[in-house]
Amino acid sequence: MSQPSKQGLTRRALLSRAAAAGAMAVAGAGFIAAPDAAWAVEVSAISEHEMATLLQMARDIYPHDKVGDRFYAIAVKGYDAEDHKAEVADGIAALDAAAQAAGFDSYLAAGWEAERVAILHSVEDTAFFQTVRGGLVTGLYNQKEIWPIFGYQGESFSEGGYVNRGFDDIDWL
Amino acid sequence: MAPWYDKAEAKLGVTGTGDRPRLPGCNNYLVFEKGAKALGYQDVHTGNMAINSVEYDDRMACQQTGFCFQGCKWGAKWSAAYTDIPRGEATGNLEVRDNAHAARIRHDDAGKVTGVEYFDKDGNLQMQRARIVCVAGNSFESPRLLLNSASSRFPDGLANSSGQVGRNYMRHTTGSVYATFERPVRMWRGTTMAGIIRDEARHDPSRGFVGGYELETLALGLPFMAAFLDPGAWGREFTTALDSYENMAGLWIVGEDMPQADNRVTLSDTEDKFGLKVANVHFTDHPNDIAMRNHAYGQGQAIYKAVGATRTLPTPPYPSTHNLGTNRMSERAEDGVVNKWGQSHDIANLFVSDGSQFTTGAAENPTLTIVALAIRQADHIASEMSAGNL
Repeated sequence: MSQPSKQGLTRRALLSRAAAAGAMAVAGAGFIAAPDAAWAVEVSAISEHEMATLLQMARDIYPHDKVGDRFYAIAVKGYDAEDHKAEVADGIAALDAAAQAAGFDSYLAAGWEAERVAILHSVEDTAFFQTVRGGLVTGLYNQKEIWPIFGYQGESFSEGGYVNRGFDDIDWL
Repeated sequence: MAPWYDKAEAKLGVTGTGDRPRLPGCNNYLVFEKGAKALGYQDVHTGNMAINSVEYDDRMACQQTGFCFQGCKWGAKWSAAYTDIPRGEATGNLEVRDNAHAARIRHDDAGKVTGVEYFDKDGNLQMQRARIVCVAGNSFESPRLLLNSASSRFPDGLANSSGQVGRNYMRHTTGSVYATFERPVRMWRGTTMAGIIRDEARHDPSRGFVGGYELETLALGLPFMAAFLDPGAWGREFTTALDSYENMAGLWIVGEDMPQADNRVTLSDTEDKFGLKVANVHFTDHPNDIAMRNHAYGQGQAIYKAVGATRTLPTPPYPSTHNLGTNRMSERAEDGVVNKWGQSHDIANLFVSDGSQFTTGAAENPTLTIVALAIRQADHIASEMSAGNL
């Protein structure tokens, strides 16, 4: 996706431009946000480009088409911290370099998931990739709010278990 | 062993033994059972579980809550924590010292053990004198304690004249098979592992391996499934499987792994916070383990395909399962660590009371046998003490 210049743009203008471009997320001054403004993540330690790249990377590593970007944003927003600053800067620079070696301006500029996945495969043995991937396993799937999307009901003790609530209700066998 | 298995089954309230009914089958079991029957398996049921199917021993019946591995909030699943330990304390003959850490077992000049040195909950070293010491720290900590108890008289560790302490570590040949279907299963609802196929638990080398295995139902919650379905995997091959989580069924393979002398627990150079060397664990699969696992993957996938699976997922073993062996029982002192009573060959008043006594893992979950051996050992110790032999 293209990176709109943030210079001279208000948040509102930026969002509307991103929506018109059909972008997944857009980087503004100190934040990235959904084109429809459904969510936004402020950044202070790392750059908007780095956070937008992390977000895309998270979705490409564990793509669930029914899981909204806001959940991926929650999973990666912890990287916006002083003690992750160097790690993220180096990791995203390396990812963009790999994208450039594959003929794209940046990782985010690769338009198809398959193109980005190919770039990720070229860096999947790096500590940065494995850190991001490993962190997502808990950062994404431990969010109780996404469990209903998968049909998962979580704990049942508080509701008395399933003994009277369908533990054996399968009807298609 | 039969009388002690009966005692253990009564103590734990094992379903399908005595007059205790089996548990009802949950959704995950019903898929598993239908596939098993389609393949011609005969010995298929909800297992012999230490989970009450009806009220028993002042504990309520299973509420089909799931999360059985975490312990049971209802108390339907047997645990010493709320049965034997409080009852023992009520006799006035049992004292539990929590957060104590055994450091080493001491002995006298005659080679008899005299007690245990341990760090108490405040970190102070204490000595508890004892007429008899029974070690039950599981297959890592039991050999570690014996090895860390080395002295000038026993330079290779206590009970280790054979060199067998720590050897033949076993953990069952395992793996899982998950499968997705067109319609929901909701495998997480209900008792996690109440479902078993026993037909493959036999010795039949025509299958390409010796020994046998069982298949048991298994379900993991979504976050656990994400971590263990295919550790390290990413991308759509992985995520589309999770997308079908609601339509997924699962089973676990538990087979007899081959005892190997070099699969062992040794002392590491790394020390814990008390300055005690920690256990180093080495394990590699035997070719027989691999052949057995591959056979079980094939059968597990066939079971689910027989019920219309749209996709089957032969899932790698979880990082740990049942730890067994490392202080094995033997008739001859040179072949093992303890005799048939769990009494060490070298030191008459030193016993091992856990699964580290096992010579093989068998194709079975081990708790019942561990409990049966412990009751049998206790009966033996009581009679030997009464006779003045210990």
